Order: sequence, then C-alpha cells, then structure tokens
Amino acid sequence: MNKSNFETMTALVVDDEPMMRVLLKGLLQEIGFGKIMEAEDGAAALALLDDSHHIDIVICDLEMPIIGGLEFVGMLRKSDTLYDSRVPVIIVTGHSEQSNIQEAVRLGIHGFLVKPFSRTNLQNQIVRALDRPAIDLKKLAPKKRDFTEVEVLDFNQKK
Amino acid sequence: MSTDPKSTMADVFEGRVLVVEDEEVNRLVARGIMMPLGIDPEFATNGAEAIEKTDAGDYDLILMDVQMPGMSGVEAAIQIRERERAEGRNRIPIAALTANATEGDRVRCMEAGMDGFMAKPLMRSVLIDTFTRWLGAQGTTSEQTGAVPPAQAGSILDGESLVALKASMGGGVASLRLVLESFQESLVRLPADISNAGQSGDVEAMVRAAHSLKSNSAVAGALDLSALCARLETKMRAGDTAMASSLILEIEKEVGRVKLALTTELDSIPK
Repeated sequence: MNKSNFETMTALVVDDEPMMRVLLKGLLQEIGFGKIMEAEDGAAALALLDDSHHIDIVICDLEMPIIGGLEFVGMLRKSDTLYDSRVPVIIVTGHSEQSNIQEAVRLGIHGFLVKPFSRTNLQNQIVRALDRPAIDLKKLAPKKRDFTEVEVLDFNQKK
Repeated sequence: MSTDPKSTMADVFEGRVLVVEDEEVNRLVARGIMMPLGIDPEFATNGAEAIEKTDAGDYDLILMDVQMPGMSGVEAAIQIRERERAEGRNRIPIAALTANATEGDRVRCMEAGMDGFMAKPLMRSVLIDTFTRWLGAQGTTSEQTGAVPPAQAGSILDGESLVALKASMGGGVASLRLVLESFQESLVRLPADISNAGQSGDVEAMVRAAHSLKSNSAVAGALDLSALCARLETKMRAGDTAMASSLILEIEKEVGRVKLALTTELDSIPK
C-alpha cells in the first residue's frame, strides 16, 4: 500500500496528551492520510464517530482519563447507533499490564503499537488493520482453555 | 550511551526485529542503538503481546527479556515455538535478554527453544554480533538502507534517542519541529500542574501530570527527566508522599536543563 492509497482516507487520533496527538498527526500526514481528526478522550471520539463522519481507522491511546481506551473500544463495539461501530482500531500503549492488551483484544481491536514506535511501525499496523479482521481471541488464549462459549466478533463482514 | 567513533557506517543490517521489554526507558535505549544499525525495531511489553505480535507479523529475530511481569519470556518462547510448529511457520531465532543469568536460567531458556543470550544492559557491540549471526546482510551503506548515522551523545537530551526520533518520523522536519515545540509547551504546563497538585495535595492530579511528563520526555529523549517523573508517579501511586517535595525539586531543576537543551535543538532544525 503506497501513499496514494491513503489519500482518500480519514484517520481519527484519540489521545489526551497534546504532544502525542501532534506526533501521531505528523506521522499519519507523512503516511499520506487525506484527513486526520483528533479527539482528546474516548467520549469526544465517540461523538465524532456518531456524527456521521466517515472514519477509516482509529488510533487510540490506552490510558486516558474518564473514558479510556478500553472503555472506548467496549462502547464503540457495542453501539448500534454509531456510523460504523466496526471501524478498525489500533491501540497505542506504553505499559506492560498484561490484562490490558488482552482485554482490548477481547473487546475487538485490529492491532496495537508499543511506545516508542516509528512511522514504519505505525504504517505496518495500519496496513495490516485495513487488511484483516480483528485479532482473533483464540490465538492469544493459553492452550487448552475452552473458548467455545466466548463470542468472537467477526469483522470480516465489514466491507 | 557513547558511540564508538571507529565504526560509523560499516555495521548496517536489514530485517524485522521484535524487542520484548517491559521498561520503556530500556526500549528507548534499544531503539537508540538499533536505528543507526539500520534496524527499526517493533516492541512488545510482555509475553502475551509478544505472542500476538509474532502471530501477526513476520520477524527475522526476537530479543526477549526473560524477567517480565505477567507471562515470563521463557513461557512466551515456549508458546511461540508451539505455534510455529502447529502452523508450520518458520522458526524465528529468539535471543534471551538477561541480567546476571545463572546456569539454571540458561538451561531453562534453551529448553524453551531460545537460541542465545544477551546480557542487559544492551551493548552496541553485542547487538552487532547478534545481528551478524541472525540477520546477515551486513556491509551495505547507510544510503541504501535508510540507516541513520550514530548520534553525538548528549547528557540532557539523549542524542541517540533524538536521532532515533528524527529517523522514526521518516525525515519529516516540519513534523519533528511541531513535536518538539509541543514538548516545549508541555515543559511549562506539566511542571506547573505538578507543583499546583503538590500545593493542593491532589495526588491524582500529580500522578496524571507526572505520567504525561514522563511519556513526553521519553519521546523527546529527555531520559533523565523521564526517569525522575517515573519515580514520582510510582511513589504517588503507592501513596508514598514522603519524598515527593524533594523529587519535585529535582524535576524542576532537570526541566530547566532540558528547556535549554531543547532550545538549542530547535535552533538547529530548519524552519
């Protein structure tokens, strides 16, 4: 996927820290996104997604006050009123609490980026996210556990 | 963090490397050493993340910290090997990162299917040996691979981290300037937030401001400031307020030094 593939696409950056938004916005511009929107927390992001903006991908920080990354993904996936509740989400994290990323995966994310990350790292995640369904929970689960009763959302249906 | 002046351009490698390491500052240092060697690493912070990253991506080499909270590096290596076998994937070399490994640790790592050891903290010469062994393709010039020349080590703003930041932005000077200007702004805002929180006794606000300043400093290569903020954040989260005021003083002093270094850095970036 080269630069021109992203020209018609819109990315949404969700981060409470202005400096991280500046960094992500700069990287997304260089990757070639035609339009980049910003939100400073999960609530603002949900409002933008609810406002019939067409958003192709969301890059979201995990740790934010009030509505954080996990709550955001949970509310997004459950919503039946949002323009596109299945929009691909990439989570940005700098932490090692094991439960966090597994919880995010359970809720339905398409990839995650650990700080520090480069433009190439971000672009690889985006290409992969646009190209495949959400991370399969079964692949992350320890062996021998029974997941037959867990609902795995199928984001293949998106387009 | 000094750089050996004798080997500037010769050691350049190609390949996708995953580094599994829970400490952000260690990840920054690893990136700072690797980018001049032509390697733009991806990171995971624990075993579960490493397994997901390995399932989703094609790596040529994994450097795995052995002691991590949650799933250990040994357990992660066992699961990665199981998945490779089950799915018929290529076997990715895994090198263990350990501080003071005992003979027992070595045996456990080997039994888990790991291929080698590297001592922590990471050293450039050891990384070169590791990359030579598992990545090959050595001896190309930096123009061909996009590797960046090694940095002049600086004490306030870590030279290697800054060079890595520049390279990681893909050479976009305008974006780099915006990021550093935003950092400059946060060097005014966040220490004031910390100091106000200290005066009003608002622990939660202090944790938040310290956390933000820690992350921002790490991005810009102000590693000492980042480490001081991490200490404050950890102590405040644990409810340990005894040392807070002296830590805050240290942070304020370091902020002053970083501001000066940052002004110099910004002056050197074309507008």
